[in-house]
Amino acid sequence: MERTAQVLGCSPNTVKVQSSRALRSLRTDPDLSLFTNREVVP
Amino acid sequence: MTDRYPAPPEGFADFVTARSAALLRSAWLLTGDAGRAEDLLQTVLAGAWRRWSTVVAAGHPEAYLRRALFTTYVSWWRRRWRAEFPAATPPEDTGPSDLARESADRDAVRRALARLSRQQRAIVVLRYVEDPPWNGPPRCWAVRRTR
Repeated sequence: MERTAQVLGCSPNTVKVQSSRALRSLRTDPDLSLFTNREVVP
Repeated sequence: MTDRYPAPPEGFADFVTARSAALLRSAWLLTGDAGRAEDLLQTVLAGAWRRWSTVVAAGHPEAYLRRALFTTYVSWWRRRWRAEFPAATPPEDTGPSDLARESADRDAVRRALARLSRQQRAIVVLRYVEDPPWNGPPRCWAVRRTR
């Protein structure tokens, strides 16, 4: 997270807030709902 | 290469040959479009070409290039870059073919990423694709910012 902040030149807190917002919108994204019933291999 | 252009600096061509495919993949995740991904990568490579000795002296050319990729992407406000693609219609049922499913997956990911803000997209790609927490210590981010 600190590296991400460093790369983008913003504060770690911004990274934290923006990534949780981003994940929240991805989680509810209609296009991605097709993945939710499928096994995901990391 | 014609006479009008200077020869690439030492090591530059090898670096491009070895790493541009990986960099292009990151650029694609950011831009969601093959053409713009190439545009972004070209811009960043052109900058690195001009400063290649500095880039090499910093110790990790790929780290430099990746950082440049993200910062350029985030700060690039040229008009045509503002043409983000809003949500299109969902892909049609593509049937059982794996290839079709893969392509639908790609498309879904691209469109979902396109709904995020530019900064959010860069953060997601950086944190979860470039440097996922389950991947152990990062290999190419270990260099300090050199600008």
